[in-house]
Formats: sequence, C-alpha cells, structure tokens
Amino acid sequence: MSTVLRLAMRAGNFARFSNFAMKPTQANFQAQIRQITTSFVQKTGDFEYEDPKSEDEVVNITYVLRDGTERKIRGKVGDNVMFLAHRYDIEMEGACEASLACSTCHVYVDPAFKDKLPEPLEEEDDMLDMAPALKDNSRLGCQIVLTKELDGITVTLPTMTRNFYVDGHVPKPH
Amino acid sequence: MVGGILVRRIGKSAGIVTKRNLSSRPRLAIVGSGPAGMFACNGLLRKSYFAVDVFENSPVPFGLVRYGVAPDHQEVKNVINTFDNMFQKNRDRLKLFCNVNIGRDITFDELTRGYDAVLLAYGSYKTRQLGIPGSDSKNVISGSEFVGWYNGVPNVPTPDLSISNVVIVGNGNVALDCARVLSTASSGSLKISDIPDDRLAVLEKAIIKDIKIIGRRGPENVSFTIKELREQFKIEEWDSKLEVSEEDQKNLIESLPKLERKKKRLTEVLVKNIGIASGLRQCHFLFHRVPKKIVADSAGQVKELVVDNTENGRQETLECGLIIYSLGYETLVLDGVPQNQDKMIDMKDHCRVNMSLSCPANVYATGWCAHGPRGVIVDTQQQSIFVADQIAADFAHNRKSVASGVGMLLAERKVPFISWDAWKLIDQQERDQGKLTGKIREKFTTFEKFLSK
Repeated sequence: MSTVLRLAMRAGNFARFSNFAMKPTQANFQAQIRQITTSFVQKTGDFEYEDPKSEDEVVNITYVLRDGTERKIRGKVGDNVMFLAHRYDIEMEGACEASLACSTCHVYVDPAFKDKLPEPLEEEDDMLDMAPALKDNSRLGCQIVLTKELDGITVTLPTMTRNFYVDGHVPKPH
Repeated sequence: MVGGILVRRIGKSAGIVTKRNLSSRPRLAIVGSGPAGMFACNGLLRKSYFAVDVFENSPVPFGLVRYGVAPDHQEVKNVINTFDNMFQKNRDRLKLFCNVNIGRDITFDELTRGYDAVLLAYGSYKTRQLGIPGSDSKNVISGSEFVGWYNGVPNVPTPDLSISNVVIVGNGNVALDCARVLSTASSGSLKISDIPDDRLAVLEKAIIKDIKIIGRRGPENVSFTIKELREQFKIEEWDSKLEVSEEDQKNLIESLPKLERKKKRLTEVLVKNIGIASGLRQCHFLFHRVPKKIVADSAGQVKELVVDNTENGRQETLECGLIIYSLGYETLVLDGVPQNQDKMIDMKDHCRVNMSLSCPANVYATGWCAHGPRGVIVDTQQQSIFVADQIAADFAHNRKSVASGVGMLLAERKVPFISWDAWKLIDQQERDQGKLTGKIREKFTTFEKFLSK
C-alpha cells in the first residue's frame, strides 16, 4: 500500500474517531449497555492502523476471501481481526462495530487455532446462532484479538453461493 | 448537467426530452435505502463503475435501521456509520433522493428507461392483518405501527397507554421489542435513547402491569431470537414466565438432546423460564391461543380478546386495553414489476427479476421484498453481498452508458426531495437537539423545511 493511501486512510480513521469522540451521549449509552450486559471487545479501530513496532509484535494472519483468494497480512499483537480487515480493505463487514449486536463479521477459524482462542462469551454465541452457514469453527471476527500464539492463523470468510441460499439456509420468519 | 457531450433526443415513449451524456458511467437505481439496498450499494461501489441513485420513500434514509431497530439496541444502528462513510467517500457517483416514491412520483417503467440496472430493495411494508371480528376497535394496532410510533415515524397515531393490561399477538422479535419497550419505559431507562420526546412522555406515563404474549402454536415454534428473548427475562421489576402445560414442558425438555445448536440454545432459555408469573408486574408467554374476537367497550376501545385454547379446547377471555398484533409482513409488489402466484416479485433466479425481454434495464431484487420478511440484518447483508457480486459481474465490461437517470423527470414534476446533504443537515440538527437533553438524538417527525424546492 502506498504511503499516501495509508495516510489518507489514517486521516479518514482519525475523522471517524473524532466523530466518535464528539458523541458523548452515544458513548455513555453504549457504556451503560455494556455495564448491563458484560464486558467485551470495544475499539474504534485506530490501533489496527498502527504498524508493528518490532518483529516481536508481528502476528501473521491469512484471510481467505469469498472468492478463495488468500490475503496474507502482517498484523500485530492486540489487533482485532475485524478492524484489521477493514484497514486492508478486506470485505468483512462489521455492522455493529464490535459491540456484539450482529454477526456480519462471521469467519471460520483454522481448526488448528480454534482452541487457542478464548471461549466465546454467551453474547458471541447468541450472535453466532444467527450466522448463516454456522460451523464448529465459526467465530466473530470482531472478537478475535491477535496474540503471539496465533501467529500463522487463517480465517475464512463464508462463501455465499446461489445454492447456499436456495438449498442451504432458510432464514426464520422475523 | 456539466461537461461531456450532451445529446438531445426524444425519450422512448412519453415524449420526454432527455439529455444523454455519452461519456457517463453505467447507472444503477436502488429502490429503498434500508440495509438491503445499502449493503448492496456498498459492495457495488467497491467493485463496479456504476453511478448510483438511491430512492427512498421516507423523508430520511436507512429504513428499518432508523425506524425498526429498537431504541435500546443502539449498537445495531452503528451500521449507519458504514453507510455514512460510503456516501461521503463516493460523492461523485452516489446520490440520495429521499421522499421520492417509486410508483407515484416516478414509475417503475420510467426507472427502467433511465437506468442500465435497477435494484429493488424496498422491504416489506404491508402488515399482515389480524382479520377477526372487532379488529377495528380503538387501540388495536399492528406491531409495525407501534414500533414505527416509538421510533418516530411521521404521522403515526398515538396509542392509549393509560391502561393496565396488554395482549401482544405473535411470537417473533417484533412482539418482544414491543413488550420490552412497554415494560422498560416507565423505569426511565429509555430517556437517553432516540425515542422522540413527545412519544417518550406517553411511554413513561404508561401504567401497564400485565403483558400477555400469545402464539397460536406451541413454544417449540417460536421465532424469537435468543438475545431478545433473554432480555425479556432480565427486565427489572417484571416477572416474565412461559406458562406452558406439563405436556409442553415435557416435550421441550425431551427435545433438547435432538436439537441443532441454535434451536437447542433457544429452547434452553425457554425451559429455564417456565413457571407462573407473579408480583406487581407480570409478563406471560401463552401458547396454543388462537384469537377469535375482539370486544370493545362503549367508547369503541378494546376491552377483551377472546381466544380459543387449542390445547384444552376451551374458550378464554383475556382482558386488555391494548392489543398489538405482529403476524409478520406481506410483500408489496410495485406496479410494473412482475408478480408470481404467491403475490411476490417473480424472480428468475436468486437475484434477477423475471422481466420481459423488452425491458431496457436489468432488474434485480434483494432483501425482504425479494425473499419475504425473514431473517435478521446478517441475512440481508449476506444476500446483498451476493447480489452486488452478480450485478458487478453482469456489468463487468460496461464502463460507459447513455442512461440519463430521472433527474429531469423529478425536476419537471417538481417532486420535492431530500438529498444526502439535506439529510446530513437533519442528522446534525437531530444530534444537536438531542444533546440538550442528554439524548443520542431527537428525531424529527416533520421535514417540510428540509425539502428541496
């Protein structure tokens, strides 16, 4: 990625952050909701736009996109897998911005790494229940935070095919 | 219109004079600015050359994200930030026309003549009716009307909440949202949400003590989602219980080992909350109740709902001053869009509408208007990504177009609309006004002063 592009993206991100900071009522509301429910990962995504400061921090992650292509990303300890995807323009949604209110960042975790992740919170499991094409190794991207132990992890975005919708998944009436 | 070669020619049928810019991008019209349309739009801007015009019937954008999502689920509305960024980043090729009704202001046929592709994403906005004697009594309202009312939809009549007993008919999330808002409002916990002040005042003064959520089938058939169901059982000062027969209880428990994960986890929550509601404020989940008749008082307001209990064959009378029915939505097919025997849009495949060969545009549909009102936001999002991929593939080699849009028609007919910039002005003013009283925003319910002249 060119420096110019990166700077532009970072600027965009700062704008998002200052926008967030300007909305104290919303922040309070979310803080209140958080208190009622539980603590969970909540970030604005700025951190993911910082490059690793040293090799010790580097955590390599591979995203398998919906068309099967692999994107190898040099992440770092502490990066949130969903916000990191956004930095690199990987098409992983994050509709609720990591507040555990949707499952649009659903991914499949490389089975070899599945047990290295902390157990999902009840809230994450509740959201995963809503995810189309759920598997044993399903997780929410926004709940995976990179650690050294996860170096080399692969996460796969669920593939949508016509058949998937025609035969595989019938959403429940609302 | 500025720049490029302008060509004047006679429009195909109505004799409309249109300007055609030969060097422009292919043009896509999206009908509806809810999640289905906006997720697809986001995908298409990312992977195609389209210039996109979004048409929204309401004066303000985002459909059910603004007018459907419950006020205590503000996190779900974070998705608006994604849509915001999308509009800001693509100002050169993405336009919003709110307050424009496709069918009334611009016909569907005109849309297909003005654009290379049309994506229908207008949801399902016809409520399925209760259809029993007495349904026209006062204070018998649909769930979508009540949700629309507390979410600030313009021109929705105010329900009378100075009553103590409510019956909610239906076993989906809309029923739970209505129950939760009714049972939490008086505690003041919705004060900082985005419920309009005047409507919040009505909710906060409500004196409701008893809510019955009834379903015509058994507890194994509920369409609740687990998060919303858990929430109802956690509301302070309320005792919420599933009041089921011993047989239902036994069946639920015995079914547990055989169920797949999602159903199993939901059923566990159901089983855990079986009992008899007691205390000052009670919420009863009742099953196998089929609504038969509504009885009104001398003023025409509902006082009783008569139901058949299909489990024991008896008729029961449920005393109530308010009935909210939420039996799902019916899909509405726009004039000019082909309809199949189920009265849904006639689809050729998962995303393409079965148009006649003479139709000048490719027509696609996604979301609830295409597949029925089913699923939560993630279902809609995944469908929309798929549709965006398909449209992008169909137009992979079209970088130029002569389509002229419908801007001229809107101007000719003097259709007042709200643009993206006008919406951002509304958005800012709503937030500013909300700030004064510590709310997320104060939703406006009239928009006349923001309309284009």
